[in-house]
Amino acid sequence: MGEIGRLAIVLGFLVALWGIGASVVGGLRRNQGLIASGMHAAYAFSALTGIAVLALLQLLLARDFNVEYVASYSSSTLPLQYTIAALWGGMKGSLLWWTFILATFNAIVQLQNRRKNRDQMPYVTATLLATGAFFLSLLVFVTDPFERLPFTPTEGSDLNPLLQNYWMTIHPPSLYLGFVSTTVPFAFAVAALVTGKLGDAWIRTTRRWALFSWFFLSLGNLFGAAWAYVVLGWGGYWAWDPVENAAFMPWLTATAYLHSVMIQEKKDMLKVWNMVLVILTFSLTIFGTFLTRSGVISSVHSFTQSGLGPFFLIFLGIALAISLGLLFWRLPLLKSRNELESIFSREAAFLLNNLILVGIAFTVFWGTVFPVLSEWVRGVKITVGPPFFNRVNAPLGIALVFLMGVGPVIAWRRASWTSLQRSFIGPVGAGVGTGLAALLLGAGNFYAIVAFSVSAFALATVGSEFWRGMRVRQQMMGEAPWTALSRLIGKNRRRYGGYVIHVGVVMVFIGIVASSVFRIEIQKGLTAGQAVEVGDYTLRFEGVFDESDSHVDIRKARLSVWEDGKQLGEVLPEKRFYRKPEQPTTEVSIWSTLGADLYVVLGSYDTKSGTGVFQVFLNPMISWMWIGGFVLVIGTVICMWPSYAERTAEATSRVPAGSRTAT
Amino acid sequence: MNRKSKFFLGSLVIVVAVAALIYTAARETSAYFLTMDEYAADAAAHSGKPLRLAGRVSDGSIRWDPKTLDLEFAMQPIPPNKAKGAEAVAAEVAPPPPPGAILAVKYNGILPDMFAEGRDVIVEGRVTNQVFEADTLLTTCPSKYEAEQTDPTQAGAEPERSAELAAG
Repeated sequence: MGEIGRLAIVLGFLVALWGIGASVVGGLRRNQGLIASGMHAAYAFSALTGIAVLALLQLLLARDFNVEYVASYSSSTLPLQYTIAALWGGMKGSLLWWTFILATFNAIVQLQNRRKNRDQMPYVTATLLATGAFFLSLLVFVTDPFERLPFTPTEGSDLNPLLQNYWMTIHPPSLYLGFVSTTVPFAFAVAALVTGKLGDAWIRTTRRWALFSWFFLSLGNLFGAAWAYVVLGWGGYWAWDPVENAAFMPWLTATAYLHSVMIQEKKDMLKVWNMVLVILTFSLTIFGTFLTRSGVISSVHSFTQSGLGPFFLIFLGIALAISLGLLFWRLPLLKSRNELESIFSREAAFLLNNLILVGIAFTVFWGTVFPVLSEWVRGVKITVGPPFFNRVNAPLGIALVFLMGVGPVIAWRRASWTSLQRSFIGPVGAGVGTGLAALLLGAGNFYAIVAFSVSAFALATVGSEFWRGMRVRQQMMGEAPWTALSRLIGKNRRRYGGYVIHVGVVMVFIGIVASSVFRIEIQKGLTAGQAVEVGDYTLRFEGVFDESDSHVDIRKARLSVWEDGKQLGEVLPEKRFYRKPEQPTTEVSIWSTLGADLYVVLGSYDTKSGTGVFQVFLNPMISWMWIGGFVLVIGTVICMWPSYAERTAEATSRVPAGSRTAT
Repeated sequence: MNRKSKFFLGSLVIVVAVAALIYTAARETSAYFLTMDEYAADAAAHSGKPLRLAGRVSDGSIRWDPKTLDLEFAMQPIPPNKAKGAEAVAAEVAPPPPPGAILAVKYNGILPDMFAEGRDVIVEGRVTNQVFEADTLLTTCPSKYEAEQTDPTQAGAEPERSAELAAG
């Protein structure tokens, strides 16, 4: 099996090289045979990487510990789902997985564009294959996932217990989907620059792809936060760790792009800016992979010490040089046909939103690479921690949510004073009211009050958009409220789906603000029968009990949860002692409600004195983040769903196109 | 002033604001990230300043009171050699560290899962009267993911929180 896998990646690499050459030469010489050959290479590339993935999977399932990767990341007692997850649990496997996803996307792009964008397609193919070939070259020449050991260990060293978690099985794949799919808009942007066809075509073609990658980046980040929250046991979900930042930065630029692209579609402006954002997003995904894959991570200073780091940097440099060089060459063709007319316009609001999003991305980038920069410049390593990121991003985040409230309602071009009054009087009232309410309820934190206030403002403008649209339909068409609402959304999926996404993002924002500002943390040693108060809740330690199986020994503590003298339920935090890596791990127990999470960690238990040491966090409104995530999914589905007009257009275009090829 | 330069000016204001935010926040929250050796080379200069220090927990130095959650341990430099796992290294007879290279650390809180003698840790806090008062205690993963384990300020080892990187 290993040999088949090895053969598949070597062949895949060669096929990709051929495909790149054939596509570029074919494109330049307009040689249809070569172009078709490049296309076939793309299909073959996806098939070969697919075979390699299956081969590795087969080795994992067969528990062939002679293979170094299998021995390093699995064991004979590892449950099935985590054995599959081990496919992307290690570096080599994750690189292969990455390549496979990219190859699959490439095949899909080929299928989608069989009869569209024929001039650009050779360059799209070449860009996608070049990126794929780069990743595969690492596996072929540097770190072989099918490498065999000189001996066969009787047992593998197992997947890290921290990774043996539900969220961890779905977090990396969704992040990969997000990361990898940014390559598609990038490839189309490069093709547009090469061919000089800089109109709307490439943007329309990649609209769904951009949304797709934004969606999976969002989910990947949220899943990662959920994993950190549930597994790591320090009470939080985000530590501004370089790994997290690596996934957050492309999300920011992708968000900026999704907004600024609307300005290009509507007003034919910001063309260069959009190109830059697409290039930046792709570059940041490669940079993120570099950060996570090179070992540069915990100290970003050791650029030269890892095996793979330099390769990523070289690839990143080449990709940036080519794409920015092309952009510079095509600058004369990218002139805007319009100008901003007023600061009180939707264009201005979107431009501002873009500046802030890119500003946040830059902040995160700066904080992440700061240790490296300081060492280069001053010879000492200086780190900035979470306080840096929080302090810079709190005002920027608030400004962003404020713009989320302004953008959707303000008029294009130039908003008149009366229209501003009409649109915003209600939402501003809601915002101010919420701020006052928060103040009266004792929210003593300035940032929190402002944050809740702008959140209410943003939610109110979105709500008023739905309300007004629905009222108009009710009056004009005489429809029932629900029919009016669903038709309103159905006729403008992108717009109203976008609003729903805004609601989800604001909910996530509220969850972040409340849980970071109003969090309570208590550490206490308790003997059985003793209780501790946390906010409005009381926790009573009832005792411990032990469980064990062949894999792990578990000690559970039982605590009852009380509020106002009523027992609500119980929490069971655990300490686990895995046999294999002989490592204690902490399993937190969470009592979750809409208002707050009670997050209980068993620190230790002293059998002699019967004292359990607990760390308890009261995290207000954290569940809003996860619910906001669901809302975001719903919104994205609404956006992505093909509209009636599109479906009929597809159907009609398919018929003549099909008959054309038949002749 | 025409419209275009007005917008340019507006954008400039935002860029400057972001830069100012970054500058002030970086100045107030940054900390030196040092290895024990680097710290020992100029201990007096770092006294009382925010620090992030990487070192190894000395054998037999851990004192922990589960009632008060007070933790004390001694930290020593991480020997520079080894491409082995932390367990293997811990089992090895470590040469005694040079006198003066050991720093007492105080911390209050629950012990991280991987905290043990001979493990590499990163502490954040400041030194007062020759004692490092840590607000944060990060343990580095034992060589579960990657075979090479060097000191925690270098490749391969990562703070516990970022264990995600192996898969992410």
